[in-house]
Amino acid sequence: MSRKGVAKWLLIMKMIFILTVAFCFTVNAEGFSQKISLSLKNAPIEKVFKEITNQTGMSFFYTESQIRKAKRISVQLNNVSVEEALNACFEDQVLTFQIVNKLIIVKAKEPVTVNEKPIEEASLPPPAQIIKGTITDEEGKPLKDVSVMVKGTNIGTRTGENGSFQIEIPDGAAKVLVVSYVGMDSQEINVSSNTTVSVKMLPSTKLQDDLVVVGYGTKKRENLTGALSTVSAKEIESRPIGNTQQALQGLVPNLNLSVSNAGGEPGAGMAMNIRGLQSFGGSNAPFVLVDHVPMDINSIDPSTIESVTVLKDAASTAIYGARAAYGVILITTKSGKKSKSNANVTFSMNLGLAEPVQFPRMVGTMEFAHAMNDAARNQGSAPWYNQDALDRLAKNIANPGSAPVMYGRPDGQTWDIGTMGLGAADNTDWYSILMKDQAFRQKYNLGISGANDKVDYYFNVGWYDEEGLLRYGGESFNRYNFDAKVGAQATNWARISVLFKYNQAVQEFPWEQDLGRGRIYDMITKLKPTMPAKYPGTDIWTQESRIAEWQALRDNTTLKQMVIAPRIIITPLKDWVINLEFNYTQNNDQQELSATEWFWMRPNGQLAPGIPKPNTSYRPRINTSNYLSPNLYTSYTKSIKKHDFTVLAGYQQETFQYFNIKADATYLLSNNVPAINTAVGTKTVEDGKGHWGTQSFFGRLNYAFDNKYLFEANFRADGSSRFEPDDRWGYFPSVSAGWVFSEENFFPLKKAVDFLKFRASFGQLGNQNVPNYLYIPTMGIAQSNYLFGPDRLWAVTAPNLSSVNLTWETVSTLDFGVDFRMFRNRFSTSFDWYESHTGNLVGPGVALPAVLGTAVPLENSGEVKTTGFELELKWRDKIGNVQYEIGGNLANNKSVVTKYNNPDKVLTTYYEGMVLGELWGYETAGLFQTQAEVNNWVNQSFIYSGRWEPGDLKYIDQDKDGKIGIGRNTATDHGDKRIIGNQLPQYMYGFNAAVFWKGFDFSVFFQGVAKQTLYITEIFNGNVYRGPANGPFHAMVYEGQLDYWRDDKSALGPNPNAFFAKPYSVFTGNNDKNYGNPTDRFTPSGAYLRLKNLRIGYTIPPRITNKVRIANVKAYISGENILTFSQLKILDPEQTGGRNGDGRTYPLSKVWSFGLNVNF
Amino acid sequence: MFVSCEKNLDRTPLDQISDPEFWKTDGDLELYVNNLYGQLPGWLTTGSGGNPLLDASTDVAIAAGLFLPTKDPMDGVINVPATGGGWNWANVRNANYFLDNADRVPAGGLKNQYVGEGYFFRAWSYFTLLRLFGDLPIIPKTVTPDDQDLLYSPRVSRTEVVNFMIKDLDSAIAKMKKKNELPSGRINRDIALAFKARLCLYEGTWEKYHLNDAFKGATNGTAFLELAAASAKSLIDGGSYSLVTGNPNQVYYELFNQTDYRQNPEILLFRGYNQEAYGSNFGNQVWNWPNGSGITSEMLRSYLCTDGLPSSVSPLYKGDLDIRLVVQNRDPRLVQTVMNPGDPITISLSNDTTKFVVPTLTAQQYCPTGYESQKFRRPQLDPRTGSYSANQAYIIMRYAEALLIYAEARAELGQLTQADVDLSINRLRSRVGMPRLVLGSITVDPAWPDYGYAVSDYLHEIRRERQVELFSEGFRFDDLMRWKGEKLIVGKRPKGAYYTAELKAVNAGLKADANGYLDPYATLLKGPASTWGFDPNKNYLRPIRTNELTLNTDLKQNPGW
Repeated sequence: MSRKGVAKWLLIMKMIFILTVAFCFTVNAEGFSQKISLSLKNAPIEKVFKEITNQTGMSFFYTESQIRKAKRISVQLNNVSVEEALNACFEDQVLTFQIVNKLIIVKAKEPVTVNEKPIEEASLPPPAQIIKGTITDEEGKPLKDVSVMVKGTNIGTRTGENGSFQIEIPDGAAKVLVVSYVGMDSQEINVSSNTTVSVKMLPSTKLQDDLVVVGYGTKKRENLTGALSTVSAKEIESRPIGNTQQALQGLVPNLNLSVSNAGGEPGAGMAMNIRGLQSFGGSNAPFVLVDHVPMDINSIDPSTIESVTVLKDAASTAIYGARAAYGVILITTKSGKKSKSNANVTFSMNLGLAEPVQFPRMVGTMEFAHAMNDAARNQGSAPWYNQDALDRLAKNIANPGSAPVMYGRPDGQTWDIGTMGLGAADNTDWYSILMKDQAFRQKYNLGISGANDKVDYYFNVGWYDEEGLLRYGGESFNRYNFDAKVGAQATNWARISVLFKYNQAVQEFPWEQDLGRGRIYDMITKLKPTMPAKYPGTDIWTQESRIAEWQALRDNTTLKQMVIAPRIIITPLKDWVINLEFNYTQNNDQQELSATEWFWMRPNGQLAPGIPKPNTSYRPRINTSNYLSPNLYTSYTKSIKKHDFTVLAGYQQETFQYFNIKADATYLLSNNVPAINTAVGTKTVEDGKGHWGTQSFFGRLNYAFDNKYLFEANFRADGSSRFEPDDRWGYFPSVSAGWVFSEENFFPLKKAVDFLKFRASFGQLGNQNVPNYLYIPTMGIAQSNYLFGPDRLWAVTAPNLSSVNLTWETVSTLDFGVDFRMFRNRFSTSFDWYESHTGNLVGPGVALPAVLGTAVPLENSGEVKTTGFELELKWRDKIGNVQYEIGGNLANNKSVVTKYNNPDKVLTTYYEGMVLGELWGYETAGLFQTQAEVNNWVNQSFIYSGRWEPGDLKYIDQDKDGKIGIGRNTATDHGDKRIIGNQLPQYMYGFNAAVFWKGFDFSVFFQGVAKQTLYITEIFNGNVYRGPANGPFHAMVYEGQLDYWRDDKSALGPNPNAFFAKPYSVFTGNNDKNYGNPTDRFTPSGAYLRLKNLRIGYTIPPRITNKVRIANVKAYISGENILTFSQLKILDPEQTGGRNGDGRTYPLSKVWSFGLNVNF
Repeated sequence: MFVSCEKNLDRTPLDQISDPEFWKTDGDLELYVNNLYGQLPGWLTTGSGGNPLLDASTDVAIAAGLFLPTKDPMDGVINVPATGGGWNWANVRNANYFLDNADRVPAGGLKNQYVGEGYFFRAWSYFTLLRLFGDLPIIPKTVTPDDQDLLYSPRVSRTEVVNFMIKDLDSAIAKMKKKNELPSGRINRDIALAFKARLCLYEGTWEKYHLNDAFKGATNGTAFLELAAASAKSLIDGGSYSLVTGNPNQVYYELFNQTDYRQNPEILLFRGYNQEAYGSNFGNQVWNWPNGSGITSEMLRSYLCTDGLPSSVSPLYKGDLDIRLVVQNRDPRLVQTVMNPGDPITISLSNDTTKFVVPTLTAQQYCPTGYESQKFRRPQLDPRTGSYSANQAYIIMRYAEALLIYAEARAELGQLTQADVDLSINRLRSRVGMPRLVLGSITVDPAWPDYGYAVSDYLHEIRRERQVELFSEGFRFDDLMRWKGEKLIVGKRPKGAYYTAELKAVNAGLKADANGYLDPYATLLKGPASTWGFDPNKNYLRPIRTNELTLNTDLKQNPGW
């Protein structure tokens, strides 16, 4: 840890200590005396349970057979404690109860109807069979208090201290015993021929109290009718990652997370969509709500997450209307829970070391020089390395420093080193100079939570600190999170709570005046290995190394976000709940760009400014925004016999405002104090202001009959300021239904199948995902690009054609799903098939002739049909002491344009029948070997009208017209172009496996993409893949790139069967022959499989930790991005694209970390 | 808390001006028209990077290294693109939008001036398209998607297009004020006049020489040539501008290495750069030189000797086997154009001068021919940086061009008199101390280019004068096209300087031809034996992109594509 790191750590510990002390004094969590009221007449006991659950949030645990014995209940209770209420209800019952945390366990009363002695009153005791037995847990230890019932009767008993029991099965009863125990799977034992049985109970594979968070409420998993997936805290904890997106990648089928433009830079977010691209151009980003507050998914601390629900189909998301067209992610953070001790204190930490997952390495320096000379010769240019340079290079490779590495020009002003060291003669291993061996990461969390009758609370302080990979880049990402949730039962009809979240993230990076942050990795790819790192005989970094520049040009960004969300829950009447929620989010981001002086050295020994003093600058940007959203919603729940109803209605309003200020000031007086006040040059300031608002009404009806037939309907009306008044409102209905087949009496597979449910849903959603004010013609304001005298004058630009009548995109989704569990719930699976139609798609209007002179305005012109599926599988079991689980998921989707105003089907825009992501290009037939072969081949002048030579690519003349062409460039007349692949990832999958044994746990998690075509040779983004086939500035020769076509004139020898075509030392021009268009040869597969995470943990036995008053200590080692399987050469398959183009973005990290989780 | 009406949904932009709130005063007109100035030409790059010579894609100058693709138009390395390809109408729309709305502003103030500027820029943007494509659709107003007739209109004859432009320029000339009545930097009446002369000469000669080929216009060009001569004459007589004079051995060099031409009587229109205003390195700075380009040996041979005779016949000519010899006894503009040993590369603040010794023949931005140019090459380091030269201005239009237009138009019309020559060519010659051109006593130059058609001796000399005076100011490619100059291109390959021992010592192993001249394009060109691949049947104009032809089936592709 750096000294700075230690200081921060101490500060954090201090804060934690103060908080801990403060809250230990105020909290007193004992007993459970939440008040309830019951008014029931002759009600079944389930009804009572439901009532108590509704009022208290406590859950009941019981078996169906147990409560069949229960009597109906009539009570009139007002404002009594739960215990009093339960006592009253259980008074005359054969059952009793026990409260464990928020769980009420229903069990038979002791002594129950035992069979120890015959019933005396019986006149004719029926012949009976007496069964004896022992019941143990999975390790063979006897279990006490296990309920043993005769199936179909109310005869039962419980095991004693040694786990043994004896029971008599009356004649006529089924010779089947039902054995049940809290937290274990119930078992039915056939005893027809036995008199002695021994039963081993296995831990329940069903999640206890499995409530799933859904829009504006929760629902029992079994009653869900929509398509959604959940992730629990357990699945994402103990990983050395800073953000929630990384944690979710690969866990949820069809939640697609891919590396964003920022690549793997510290603090980078990812690109995200649910069920693929269903729209044009738009982000398709899902709507993320954290505890009902819309938030950026990465501004929360992953350690605070309790559960994540991903809502995928329209029926599940419809309640969120216009913001939710492309799915919703609901994140629920942890909150205070009652525990035996006063407060639950948890501490976790993770210390990690990172290195790039994949970073291409240069070939040997001499090979580099020869390859670059080949490229120059192919281009007809003078060699980059003349004989003198090659001789000096050979000497320096053999004996470093034995020959001059670079020459100054005769004027002494500049160095004769070509571009980035092309032609210089050093042998520099830039990778080891620029990259750290390991970058350090650390993460700490302290949580304190608890609850008593009146108050529950949760506090969390988290700190995440990530260093960048560059040795001299001074990059870092730091995030502090503070979360607090406090709730109080104010009266017996009102509960108030407040959610407070604050996070502050600080990113420090080098930047570049023209291209901003992230240029570094782009520049690294251009550094030639012959470029010296330091000026000869000095300790001054060369200008080309950019090290001095990185240190002088800084981007320090601070992102601050505060959420305050007070809530009131009122229960005016039994079953009626009113929620009043007020969400307020404030963002306050500051970016300080500064460029101070730095120097390089001229051959004459003088220092020269890298940035002249007048160009030094300080450029602060302040971006602020406010989001305010009052929500009022109310629900009423009613059960009549087997009919359960819930009705929900609500109103939501959102107002968003932003205000940004951007200032530029040049000519800093002092390098040490960059500020606007200390700048004496030109100062400019700009602002950006804007706002939008929505108003929405929504409602939902749930109906369930006998837990078998489930029905739900949603309706939402949304108004958005982004549209013209007449097109402003959208109405979005949805319905869904479920049938729990396994609950039917006639279900044929009761023994084998534990649960089988069929689901179907249909719904419509809107999307307001378009820029503000599109319908208003606005005129841009800028400074003229032309000097009027010495000055730039202000200038106003013509408005673009405004998009009149623009309205909501609508997404209609039909979804069929099935949920299935079998083998005593060991195996569970869920499958969804869906088809969605996105209509009124906002996209560029019909292609118009260019004489229009401006972009075609956006219009609601298109329709896209998306079909796809999601499959989740899970298996959990034990073998002896070893518990294990295996899970996997697979998803795919395909979007086809079904309507678009492009009658000619011109291929430069969308057209009917287009599959989103499809890549048009050419099929090829290898490389020319001789000039004769070139001359006999078809006319390829359409691709490049200059000369074709051996080593260039042969294109296939598909339409046999003797020349390569694109016809009219339409879908029907496309000449020799073909669809050669699809650039969107297809068949995305993830799978995991975990093994638990005596406190040890081991888990692996793989994630991958099965199919994807990469177009990575495009000139502006694909420089890295092309290697030496670039202009001198961009060229590099990485390992693998020496496999280019050469004739025998090359110093590296001929290579006629090469993979890469002949390289030319020019930015465009000749290289267009081989790389100017997508071809089947140079569009490799992006399929990959990656071991995302591997974890080995050990939980110290409680008997040891309890001695030091620690409930639980778990230590683990975790590895991230450990292994990758891919056919892609040179680049990381997860990281093509990015801010500066393929392979020129911050690499992803492979991280090994050590972590500790402690519960006090 | 809850707003009952829809007030929350009524939101208009807070930081942009919407169209209905604009167009109130002549100040609004100025704001709008200021933006149109952005389309005026300027340096390709203004920070790091470089600027190839403005003629570096022709017979007089070539580029290499980074800028090698600039050879492509002459080499015919042009494809029919699917998209792009220069068929860009944004500037026309920007001007149309202005002209359509200007009348919402009440008359008065400088309204007429700004409206005139609007007409000027519509013509200017049309000229850009005309040079690339020839025939064009005429788009007289802002097009909306509902204007189906305009959107799908066919191309009309280039003659009609030019007449449309001339009408705009006449409106501009009528409405605009003179230079001294305007704030600096604005387009004025004389600039519009000069542009009209340039346009008319271009079209007049184009239609004359392409009269019988596929690229022809609707006339033989005479009317345009008459307009060209009249417009040029009007400017010459107008008195607002004049030639700069001075030391004949300095005046030409000094004309091109300035940062500010506001007070210069010769410069009508230039693009200035100001590091402070832009906040970055600006203006063709010194470290980029020679900008990957060089002057060809053909160009060097075309300068007359000081006796007024061509180098092919003058006894004063010393040959071109050495850079020091080739400039001796030659038109003083030569030594003021080409870098010679001893010329300054940089002049520091303390007046320390680094001097040119030999050209840079290898490196990223090397000179391919061995003849580096010093036009627009400013050696004085900027006082604010101490290490860069900055703010070199880009000349767009100067008085000398008007003189050359006048002479050429009169010559093409067959109306050239000695008085015309004295008014034009001879003023340029006398400025640098060269002998007068006298009609009737012109020495035949065996090296006069063979255009493939008859050219009078005086027209040969006028074209030579234009080639020399306007070298590297971006006219040469257009001149070759309008003169139907294919004979100067096809079968030819540009050469560089003699590959002397001095050059070999510094830069060994370069390609040279059989006569020992540097031959940088020895293997690069597309034509037979590496000559220019220019195809006279199609390369005079650019192809229209495929997509455009698909969208508008009434649009016809250019000949040969």
